[in-house]
Amino acid sequence: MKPVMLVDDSPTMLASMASVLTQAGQPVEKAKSAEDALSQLKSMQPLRAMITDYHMPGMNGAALVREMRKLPAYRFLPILVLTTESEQSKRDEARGAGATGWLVKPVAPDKLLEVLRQVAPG
Amino acid sequence: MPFDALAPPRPQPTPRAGRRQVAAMLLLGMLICVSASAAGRAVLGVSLLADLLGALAFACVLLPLLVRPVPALHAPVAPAAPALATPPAGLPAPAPHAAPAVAAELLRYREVAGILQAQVDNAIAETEGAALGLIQDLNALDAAARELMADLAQAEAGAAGSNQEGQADVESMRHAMEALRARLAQRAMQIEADRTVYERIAQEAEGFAQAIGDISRIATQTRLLALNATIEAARAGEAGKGFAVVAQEVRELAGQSAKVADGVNTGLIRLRELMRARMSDALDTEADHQLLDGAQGQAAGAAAAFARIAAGAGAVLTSTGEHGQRISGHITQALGAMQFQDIVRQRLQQVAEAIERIGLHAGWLAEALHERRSVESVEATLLRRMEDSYVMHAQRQVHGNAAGQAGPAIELF
Repeated sequence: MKPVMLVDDSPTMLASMASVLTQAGQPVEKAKSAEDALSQLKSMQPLRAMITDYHMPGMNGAALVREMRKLPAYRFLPILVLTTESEQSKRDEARGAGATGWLVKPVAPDKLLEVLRQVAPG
Repeated sequence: MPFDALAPPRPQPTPRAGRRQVAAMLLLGMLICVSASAAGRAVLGVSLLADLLGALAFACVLLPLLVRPVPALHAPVAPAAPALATPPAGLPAPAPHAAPAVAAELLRYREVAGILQAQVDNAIAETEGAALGLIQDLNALDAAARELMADLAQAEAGAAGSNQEGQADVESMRHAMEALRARLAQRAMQIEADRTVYERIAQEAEGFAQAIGDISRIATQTRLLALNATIEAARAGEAGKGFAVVAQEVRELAGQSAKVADGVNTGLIRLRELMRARMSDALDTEADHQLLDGAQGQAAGAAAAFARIAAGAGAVLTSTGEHGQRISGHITQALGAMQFQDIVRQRLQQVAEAIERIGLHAGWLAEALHERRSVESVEATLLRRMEDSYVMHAQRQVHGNAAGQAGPAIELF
């Protein structure tokens, strides 16, 4: 199964979400920032999906989505933004950048897996 | 975060200070108390309570000092100073000599803010370490639960296999017993047929016995007759010598006939005894049937008990497996709940930044007291910046400025 890449500056979020996905049989790759994610993608196998935080030091989640969409290999990759942000303008920014969906923390594990199955079957 | 990064443009002196300045100071003091108290309750626990109570006491002390007239604040650089000469309704006028002391105390708020910020940072680090430890433990627990469930599944499969083997053994035993019972029934029929033959033989033997008795009687009579012939031959003298020899031969033959008849009779008696013994053995097959019935009943009981034990063990294994599944589900939920640490971290960081700005603002107030500058308002320096820093709907709700409802928690574009 192709891995899901998690991008978050919070070690707790990375560990928590990685555990939830791994328990569901989903392989995971982790990046602690948007820049780290873009760097890892250069030498990485194809992804099933990406789940990224919005607020991160340096490049934010929307900017990461924008950069990802510039890469041919990831133009259609499902990218979910998982964030505490509730501002509608930020949500619109992510949508405009090409994000697939917006999830507000905390998200229940079963809901996360359901959304993942929905946007990235198999 | 360095102070300079947070600092807004320095306020330019304005002629208006007065009551707004005093109110701003009071509000600042109370805000510090409220913010620090909130942070203490949320993160640092009871140990900080004394410090916060101290800050509150300070604000209370500050109140009567500031509401008294302060001539320095109404110097010519502040044309609007008369506003301070009219303290808020119900408050006494500020004491003029208090300004240096107030300024000195206000400057210490940076120190207090720094300590509080360090405390909050420390608390964030501790919760992060604890959350990561919990996640590690939950992962270990989940691995153990999954291992347990795998063992249970293996045990369940083994139990099912053993049950099938046991049932097959019992069925095989039942077939063997049925075959044995059929064999015994066949044997009983054979014995019954043998019994008829034996009875006929016995009857025939009885007829032989009578004939042999007749032969014995004839032999006895012949021997008597030979004896009489011997006597008569002796009586005839020389002429009867030859006849005496014949009579002697006849007597010996009669004796031999009697011996043969006795031997045949003895043989017939032994034959009857053997047949009687054989018929007695044949009667023991009834006891065999009873033993067989008992063994078959015990085997059936054992099979039923075995099936009950297997069913009970299977139910226990199934139930334990279901519990394991539920435990695994709860572990997953608990892992998801660890997101709380990131949410709390962000809120605490926002509180820490606010505390930092409060310290910064206190410094400006102190400078304003000394330099008779205008005062940057709490509204602009703190409240608006706090509003700008919020990311969560809950933060805005606490502040009382949440506009409308939060968007959907999950939205696919």
